[in-house]
Order: sequence, then structure tokens, then C-alpha cells
Amino acid sequence: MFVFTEKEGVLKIMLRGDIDHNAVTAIREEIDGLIFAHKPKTVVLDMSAVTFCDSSAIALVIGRHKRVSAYGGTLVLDRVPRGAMRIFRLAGLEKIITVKTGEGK
Amino acid sequence: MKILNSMKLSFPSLSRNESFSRVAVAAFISQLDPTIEEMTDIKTAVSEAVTNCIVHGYGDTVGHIHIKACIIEDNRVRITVSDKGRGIKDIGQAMEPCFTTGSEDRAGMGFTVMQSFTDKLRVRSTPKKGTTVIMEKKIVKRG
Repeated sequence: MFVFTEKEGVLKIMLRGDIDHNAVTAIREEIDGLIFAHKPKTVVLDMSAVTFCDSSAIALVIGRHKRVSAYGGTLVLDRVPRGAMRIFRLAGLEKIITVKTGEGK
Repeated sequence: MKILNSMKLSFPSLSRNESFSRVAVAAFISQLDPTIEEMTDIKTAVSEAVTNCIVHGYGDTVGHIHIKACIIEDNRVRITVSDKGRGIKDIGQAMEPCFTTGSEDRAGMGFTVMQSFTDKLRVRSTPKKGTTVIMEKKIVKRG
């Protein structure tokens, strides 16, 4: 279970561990469950505790972006580690989603 | 090409082996004293190659995935990941960014990531016989 906070329309979810093909289904279901329950204006995925990520994370993020945008919300990626940032840049994610890097990572 | 050290891994195409395989390869190359970034590059490229074997090579069936990692001259690592699965009909198309035959869970970025995170990538495939991906990366000597 991810740690999350919901305050004034901002749902902040703290992702952790590895994001790969094996882990992504459970991560997606958990995020979607929280989005469905809260319908927040802004969803912030805090990635500072993510230890590894491959291209499985790209589809995960794009899918969540579509889901949140569908009801007029916004998805933000926060404290993205350097390795994940390189993957997201390859896919051009920062052109459609607000992606903030991790400080000093 | 002189092989200075090598290792082989073989395991069933279960997605829970993705983590094991990338960590095992990373542990093997750690003798070259790579930076964290170089290590992450190798782990990510291996993860993509192994995921392709699981998702595309074998699909709903379970087969074996073979990895061979060699340390060769000039501080380079050569990693071969192969399966005996479905194979790829059109390698050029499969390597295009965003092309996927997988579900909406897949971004079609696997080969693009492998290409970007290594120095050399070669793909050999025969439909119904399997696919072999060979990646090479130089680990910069430090100190």
C-alpha cells in the first residue's frame, strides 16, 4: 500500500520500490483506486522512493494522465529520480505532463 | 574479441524473474567498478530485453530465457538475452519508438531504451524460433 495524503483537491501518492513490468499491474490498480475514490483536481505522484524504473513506467504514467485528464484533473510527477527522468525524457513525457526532478539526485 | 570473464543465467519467463535477472547482471559487472549511472543503464537495458522475452517472445506460455554476460577487452560488457519464443516478423518495425503489439500497459519503448542506454544493440530473430538481443556497453575506467 502506498502512503498518500489528500488535501484541498490535491492527492499526493508516494510511490516506492521498483517499477517494472512485474510490479506495474499492482501499482496501477492501487493508483487508480485512489483516483477513483478521491477524484482530486491534482494527482501528484511522488517518485523519490522509487528504486528502479524501466519503460513500464511510461505506459503507467501516460495511462494515469489520460484517466485524470478525462475528468478535468491534472497529473504531476514530483521528485523524479535521475534514472526515471532519462526514461521519461526519451518518451517526451515532459511535453504533456509536469515532471519535476528530485533535488540533487 | 577476447573474453576476460563471463557468466550464464537461465530461468523461466516469469515476470518475477525480471528483478532477479537485472540485479544478477549488475552484480556481475560490478567488478568493472561502474558508476551508479552505468549500473542503472545496464539494469534498465537488461530489464527491457527480459520483459520483451516474457511479453512478446513467450506471451501466455512459459519458456526459458538465457542471458550471457561477458567482460571483453577495453572495459566493455557484452550482454546477450535470448528466448526461443515467437520471434519478430519485422525487426525494423518492432524497433520503432511507440510501436507495440502488447496491451495498453506497454509503451513500445523497450528497444528505444536499450538503444539509448547501451553503445551497441543488435537484434536477431526468426519467426517461431526466437529472438536474440546483443547489447554492448563500455564502462569508463576511473581513477
